[in-house]
Amino acid sequence: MWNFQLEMLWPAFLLVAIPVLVVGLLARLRRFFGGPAEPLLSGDSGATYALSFLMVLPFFLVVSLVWVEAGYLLLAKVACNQAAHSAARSAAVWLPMGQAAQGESKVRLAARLALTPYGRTVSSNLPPEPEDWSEEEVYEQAEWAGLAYAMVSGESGSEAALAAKFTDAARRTTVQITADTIYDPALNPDGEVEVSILFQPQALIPGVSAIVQPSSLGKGYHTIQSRSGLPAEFPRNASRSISIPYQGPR
Amino acid sequence: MSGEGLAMGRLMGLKKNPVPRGALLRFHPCQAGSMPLASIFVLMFLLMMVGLVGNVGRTSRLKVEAQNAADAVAYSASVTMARGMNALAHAQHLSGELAAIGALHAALYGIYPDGSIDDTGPFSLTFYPPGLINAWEVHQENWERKQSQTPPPNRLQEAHDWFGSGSLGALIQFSLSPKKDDFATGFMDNFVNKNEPYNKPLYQNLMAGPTVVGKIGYEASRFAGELTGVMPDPASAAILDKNNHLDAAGNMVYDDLRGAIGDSYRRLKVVLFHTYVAQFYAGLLYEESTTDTRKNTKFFKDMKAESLQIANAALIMQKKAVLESNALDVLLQAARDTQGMSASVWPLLAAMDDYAAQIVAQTPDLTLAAMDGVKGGHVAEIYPSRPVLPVAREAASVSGQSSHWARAAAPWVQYHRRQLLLWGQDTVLLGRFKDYYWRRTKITTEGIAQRMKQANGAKRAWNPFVMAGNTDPANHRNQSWRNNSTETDRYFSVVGMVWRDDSSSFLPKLLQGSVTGDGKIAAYSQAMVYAANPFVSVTPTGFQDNDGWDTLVWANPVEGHPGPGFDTKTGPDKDTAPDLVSLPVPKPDWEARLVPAGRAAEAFASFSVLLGDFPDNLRNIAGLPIPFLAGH
Repeated sequence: MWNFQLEMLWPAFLLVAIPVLVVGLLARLRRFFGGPAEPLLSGDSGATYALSFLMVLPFFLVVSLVWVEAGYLLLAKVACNQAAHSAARSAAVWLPMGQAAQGESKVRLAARLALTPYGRTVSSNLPPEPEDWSEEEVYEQAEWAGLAYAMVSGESGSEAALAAKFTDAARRTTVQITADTIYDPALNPDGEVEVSILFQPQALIPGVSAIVQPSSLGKGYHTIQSRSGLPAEFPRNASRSISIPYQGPR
Repeated sequence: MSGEGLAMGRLMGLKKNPVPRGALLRFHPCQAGSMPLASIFVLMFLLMMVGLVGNVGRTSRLKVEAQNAADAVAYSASVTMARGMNALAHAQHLSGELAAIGALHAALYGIYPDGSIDDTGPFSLTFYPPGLINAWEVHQENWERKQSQTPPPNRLQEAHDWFGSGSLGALIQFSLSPKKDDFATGFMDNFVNKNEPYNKPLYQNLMAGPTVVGKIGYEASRFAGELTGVMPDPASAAILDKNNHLDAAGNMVYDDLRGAIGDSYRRLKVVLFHTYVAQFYAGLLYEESTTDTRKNTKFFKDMKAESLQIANAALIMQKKAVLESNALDVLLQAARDTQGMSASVWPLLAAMDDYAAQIVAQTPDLTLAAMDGVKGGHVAEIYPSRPVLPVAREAASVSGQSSHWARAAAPWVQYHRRQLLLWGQDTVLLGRFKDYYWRRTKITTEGIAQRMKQANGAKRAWNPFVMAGNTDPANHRNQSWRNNSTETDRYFSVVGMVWRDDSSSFLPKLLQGSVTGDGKIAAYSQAMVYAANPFVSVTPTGFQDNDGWDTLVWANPVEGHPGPGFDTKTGPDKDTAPDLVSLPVPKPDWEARLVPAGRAAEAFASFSVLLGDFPDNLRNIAGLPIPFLAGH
């Protein structure tokens, strides 16, 4: 199952859908060319009526939109999980380097990059400003991110839009870092760093979003939380130290 | 035809020219099957939604897996390097301990493991102990002062004053020069073989030359013994010939008078010579006190008693010297017996050098093997493609004294010699074994380090491995990477890159594994090998700093070379030096950890040229600012 892909379902789906369509088409073609109607799909069997169809349609649409909104929320949750993992990894790498401010900035960058695909180029329904919000930092990172995506995709000119998506995603992301402060070589020789991500993506279909997540009622954005922890390998006790002033890349 | 069919025709703009009703009706005469068709498209849409969510989840999982694989690749390569560094450090520590065995034995017996002789020569007593020389200087001043007095000093009174205290220490510290002492001149005139260079400094003669002078002293003491009735210990005379023999040409050859044992034997000869002279003087005093016309006066009676006291004290000293000589005999025999063991150290050192070289040579292959073990289903590469240990051979120009070998051996030398120093202090006191052995170990530690560096004329020098990047061979901690992260990365970091094909569809563009469309999910990571031991700068002079990032690392501060308590003028601290030495414990503690990917751009640029299947997204972002690359 490790290599299972949802694309594998499409042939099965088509295997069912194509015969149905072919049979229906054949029936009509036979009728069209004057053949006997009775043997193939004739009569009112399986039909519906316009009135009842109209009565069902709103519910049908709502259910469908709920599907869409729920799917979108699921996507955001998956992204939030990935962002938490990415941020925790960044924290494990950066925080022991000895420069807390720089390290925390890198952790936020990692989370924001993971969530950039879920940002909007035009922001609306913004949540309250995150506690760690710094316009200067975000703009600098957004510039890098836009440049990076443009370079990766080879599409020059997309920098601004991508930077805007990054900024929107950053505005909706709050990163909280919890690092072990008690060193216990017996129980926890490497220390632990945990990162919690609070992601508040814009609701895709505002009216329906409250059905999927009632807390989004009247806000226009969802609230998703994920957390991830990793061993941070803090060399911070007396007998374990990097012992030279290594500061990471400059 | 139904009304619905007409409505459809109007909607299609066929009002004026309707499709022949019969044909359309024949094609779709009723509502039959309309719901299944709608359901199919709705189902298809819903399935696409499910597929989108599933694909995003799957891609997210693949991304995390790729990142974990990249971390594992970089970390494993670094761990392999850390293991290489630890193995290398352990190997060098072991070489140091083996070298210490050789140095300790060479200090004792004068022969290095490679068979070469300690060519330092006998220690001159003009250097140590200084008391003898000082005693002579004091005596000389007094003598000259009294010579200028009128009336001229009474010779016997002078002798009496000289030995007046009767103390053994003063007796030993008495010094004799044929040029400066009338007594000695007479002594030499009567007893010295004219062929002997008696006019040379006496100590040099006794220590390095033939022992005829010593034998003459013994004969003189026997002559005096016939008068006083206190004969010298005949066993002591045998010490004068100890381990010497005449070669075919008639030259005296000093077989085993090497190393600290030889030093102590020579020292015993000097001591014995003084006791013989003391007995001779005692004889003169005795004769004078018994033959002088005033022999019944109190002065001459006291002189007679004192002469016997001196003769007996000298005899006691001789017996002590014989005991010490016996102890040295045992030690000498042990040293001879263990010479083979010491010699066996040399091929072991050669093997250890080979072993260390193999560690350095094989580590790159091992890092690749480690990478293959953890990359999972990914294609993986590391940068550098063959990571080498950050070490280099010590420069040949570095002397044995400053060499890593001396650093490696010194703590073991100083720890293991401790028992023998204490034994010498208690057992071979007159022979000064402790002091000589201390000095010899200092010399042979440097000597064996030098011999290892030159491998005694062998094809390849066994220069130790030191940290790379050192611009000053004399200072083993003088590397610029210690204060420059960029250089630290270059020496100690490995970048891991992994990628795999991702055929998922229905994904937002930015979520795809590679937005350039080459269908690859890629990740990268950087890990660093570092020494986890803290830097400990040791305050007492003579100890080794424990700086962690080294090919020699100790758990606790250990002595350096030549060690604590050493003073180039006064010699070792005789009372405290041995007690300061603790058991040296090597503690190579190289570890690996993930670090910000400062070398990512360098790695991408390198591999994007070399590899055709290198992921486009990594290829393209090689030019990004390092802080951004490292912030993933």
